[in-house]
Amino acid sequence: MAISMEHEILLHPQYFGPKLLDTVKQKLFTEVEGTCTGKYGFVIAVTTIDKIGAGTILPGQGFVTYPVKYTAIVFRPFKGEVVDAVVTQVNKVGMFAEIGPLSCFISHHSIPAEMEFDALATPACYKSKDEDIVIKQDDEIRLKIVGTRVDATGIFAIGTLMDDYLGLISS
Amino acid sequence: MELNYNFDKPAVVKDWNKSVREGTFIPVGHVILTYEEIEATGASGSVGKLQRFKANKAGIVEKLLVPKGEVIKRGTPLLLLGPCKHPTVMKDMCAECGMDLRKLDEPKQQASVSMVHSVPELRVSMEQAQKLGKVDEDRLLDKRKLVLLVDLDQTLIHTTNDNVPNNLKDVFHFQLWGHGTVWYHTRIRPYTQQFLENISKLYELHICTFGTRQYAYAIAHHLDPSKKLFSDRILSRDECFSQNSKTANLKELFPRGDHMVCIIDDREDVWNFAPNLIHVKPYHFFRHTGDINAPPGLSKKDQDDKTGFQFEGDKVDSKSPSSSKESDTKSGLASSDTNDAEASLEKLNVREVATDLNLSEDDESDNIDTEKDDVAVDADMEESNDDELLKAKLAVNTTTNNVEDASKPAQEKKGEEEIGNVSNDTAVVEKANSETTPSKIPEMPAGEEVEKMNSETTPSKIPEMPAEEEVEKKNSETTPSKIPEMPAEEEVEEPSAVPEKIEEDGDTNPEKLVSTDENNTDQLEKNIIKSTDTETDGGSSASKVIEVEDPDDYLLYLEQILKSIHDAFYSLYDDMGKRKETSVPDVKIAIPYVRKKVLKNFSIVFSGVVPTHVPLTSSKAYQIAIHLGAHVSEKIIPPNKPGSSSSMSIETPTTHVVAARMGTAKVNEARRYKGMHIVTPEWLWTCAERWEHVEEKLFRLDKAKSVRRNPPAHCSSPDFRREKFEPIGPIDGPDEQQPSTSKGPKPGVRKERTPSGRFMDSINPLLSFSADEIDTMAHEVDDIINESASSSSDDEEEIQKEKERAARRRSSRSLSGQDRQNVLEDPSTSEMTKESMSSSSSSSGSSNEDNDSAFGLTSECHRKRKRYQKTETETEDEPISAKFRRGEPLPSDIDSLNLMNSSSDDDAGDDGNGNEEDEWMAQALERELDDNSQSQEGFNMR
Repeated sequence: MAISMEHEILLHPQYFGPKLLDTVKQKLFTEVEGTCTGKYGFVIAVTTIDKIGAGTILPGQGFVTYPVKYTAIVFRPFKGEVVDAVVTQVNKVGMFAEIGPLSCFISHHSIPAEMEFDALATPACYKSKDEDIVIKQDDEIRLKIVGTRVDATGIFAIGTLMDDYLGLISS
Repeated sequence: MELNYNFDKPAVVKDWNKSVREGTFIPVGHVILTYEEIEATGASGSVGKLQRFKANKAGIVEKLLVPKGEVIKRGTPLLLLGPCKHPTVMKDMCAECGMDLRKLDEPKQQASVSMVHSVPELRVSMEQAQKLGKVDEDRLLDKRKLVLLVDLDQTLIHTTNDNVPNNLKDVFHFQLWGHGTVWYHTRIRPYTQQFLENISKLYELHICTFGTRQYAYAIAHHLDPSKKLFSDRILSRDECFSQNSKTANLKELFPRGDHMVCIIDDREDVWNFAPNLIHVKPYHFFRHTGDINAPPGLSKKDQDDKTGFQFEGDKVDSKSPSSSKESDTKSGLASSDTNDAEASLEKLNVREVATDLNLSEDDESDNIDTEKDDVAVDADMEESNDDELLKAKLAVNTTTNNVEDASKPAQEKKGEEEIGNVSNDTAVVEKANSETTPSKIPEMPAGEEVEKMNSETTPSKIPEMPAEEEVEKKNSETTPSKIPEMPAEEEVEEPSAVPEKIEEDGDTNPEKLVSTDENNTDQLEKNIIKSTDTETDGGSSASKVIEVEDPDDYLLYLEQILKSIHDAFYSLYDDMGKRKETSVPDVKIAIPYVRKKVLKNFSIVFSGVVPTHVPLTSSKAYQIAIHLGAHVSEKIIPPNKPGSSSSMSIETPTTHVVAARMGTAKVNEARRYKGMHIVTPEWLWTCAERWEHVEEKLFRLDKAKSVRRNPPAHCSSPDFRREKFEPIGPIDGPDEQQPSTSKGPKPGVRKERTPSGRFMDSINPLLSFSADEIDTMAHEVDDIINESASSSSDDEEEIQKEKERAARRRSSRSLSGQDRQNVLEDPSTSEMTKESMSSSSSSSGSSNEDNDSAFGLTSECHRKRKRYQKTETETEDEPISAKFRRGEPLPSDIDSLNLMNSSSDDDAGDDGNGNEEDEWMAQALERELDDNSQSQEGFNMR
């Protein structure tokens, strides 16, 4: 999802020169990409820089701030969204998975009842009784997000495998 | 809350899902029933296939509203659901229904148990926890396994931040926090892989460490790269609830109780002395480094500098931060001349330590001076490296002399000071060293070059060598800039200084030579081996550069212990199974059971082991013996007539006499009986360490042996140690003092213990004594004095006064002002304070008392002791003659002990050379008192 956003770049006077705007762009990329905001979610990548506004010199410092408008691809998980994830940890209470930057937990209650936790296997896994489905670490699964928590540093999600076409993605 | 059918087409309920029952939780998406759609027109035309109806709300089933076979239409309520109880919570979100619990107003959450080691945010309700715990338990029982919590630091590994050569075998190096941060050097305990491999068949292994999470994972990854052993069962400091206790987490990890949990750890306090803890012998490899992850304020200092291997020249500096500037610099210099070549390496330390300890600038400059010396030396060494052996020697000799010369003034005083201070100060300095580590880190890579160089030379060189060379190299780099300063140092040559030096540090000398020209000397390397063998006093017989011989084989014993515990547990379990009991046995019962079998059917008598003022039953040795299942009696029970002694009930005849020294009445008595083992306390400690009956022949008592009266910390049994750390307050305080108030005759002989064998030394009394308590002790003693002061005779009063002067100085430090007055009149108070002082100084270091206690052979010290005993005995209400007799033989004890240590005597029966008469008297008295069963207990050793 591409979203238009704004960001202010604070630039040290040492960069004032012919490549000033390049520096501003570069700085925008490093400062913005990979961050997470509560409103838009994760900023995955800046696609276009729409406008670099007039810089303002900060009195007493010499730093300049540039308001930058840009468009970026963001990832904002929603409740009910079905996503693909990679399992990172499996334990008796449930399993953890990652959807890119988003971590997610699936309780063992939300894993179909026919899947049972097997602590003795290495690595530990959830497997169905006939053992034809095994979910273990690093496997890809498809899950549905049932809740999210957004805080300053990141988003955390609760997922479930209890629906049609959810679970292990057999490639 | 109702769950309604929400499709347009009416349907017939075919079957309820079996898991949907009243009281069960159903999450969103859970299949609750199967149904078949029917045409609205008639029930007959059932067309649709079987479909599953899934919950669109989460909650607890309260009631099923539709029976099987009923026709349902849109809006028909199917289920009555209670609200979700949020049994599983992750980061304050219910993991079942996805609700954000922070938005709820209920402060109390159901989910409180953090069951997963690595994710403390994930919590489940107690119910859930029990359920999951039950599953775990069943699985363990099914596989006939137990749980074993494994500590890392000093149990399986030993890690240091100090600078060590990077080519040691079984040591791996890592940085946790990225490039340029602290290096960790971890040595795996010998046999660890084998141990883990074998034990993982019987136990489910969990890591439980106070290291950080990254640290724990780094170690775990190294120990177990395939994650077969530990999986994700790693509990680190980040997940610990309490800063200095691991017990709190136990309840959470094992909600059904710790009855199947066995713990191995090198310290008991963090486990609150749990009975299911096996206290292992701490693993100590790197010298001067304790447990780097010890909980704050609880770090153990006891043996950090006594055991382990040393890779830097760590005679380093006998400086004590607390002593005067002058002695500081002098000892600094002294160290530079003691181990000349090593000093070149030490200089790095010296400087850093100096700055780190915030010494005055004078010190620093002095240290830098020594550094210059070293540089000079090294410069010469470098030059000589390419030359022939002879030349090299010559060069070294001259440079040695230079250094020698520069530091000569210091040398004279150095000797005594150094000896006295080393033991205490190295610990302190070492601490400082480890703090400075980060700054040393950049030097590490130099070791690589060393490796190359070493590979050319003989493999029989010592771990120290690389480090030296490394420094040498560094020095050679720095040399050019410092060359101008060289002449100043090289002015005088004093050949006479050399022999003197060799005398002093004979073994370090050859090494100096070799380290300079190691490339072309072969003979001298042999010398090196010898010299470093004596230096790395951890008992290493270093064989290779890379490989360090490590005598530690404790894990083999531990494996046996764990195996027998496992066996005991499951035989109990099987027994219970036969009796159709459903409950599961408790490891906390199995462990003591296994331990009790170790010395079962043995009967032990202690002689000279338990201090007389400590009741036998509260002594450590007694407790250990009892916990090993032995029977302990006060007197020797002859083998042929068991139970003959009047007051005692039927008892097994004595099989072992554990004696700390020769010549006690009991030892002499035991000699008369055939087959009665007379062993040193080491025997008992070793039994306790290995949980097995070790061969007595290895621990025969003979006079040359020096013995530890105190068990090593790891031998002590949990039950006993626990009371010491009980929150109520220190028990040892009263223990130590009460006999002096209540039981008259005892305190008089307190001082007869050897200084090093004192009970108090083994545990840091600062932990247990508060200032108040010391005050109250002083008061107690004052009371006695007041009572008994009248009975003291005149000439002894003189001695008393003399004593007081010395005592005042000592006691003034630990006693508050109000007691001073009392102290003046009170020899036994001073004695007591001295005792507490000296033991406290063993931890604070560098005070004179400690020197006394550690090297209590000086005559002055003796005189004091004797007087103490005299003056003390006099305080009791007894006839003077008795006092005199009592006082007289006592010093001979000390003397004979000292003589024993000096091993100069060749008399088999008697251990005192000059004091045979005293000795005889002592024995006579002992026998006499032995017969007199009432009073004997108080006086002599058991």
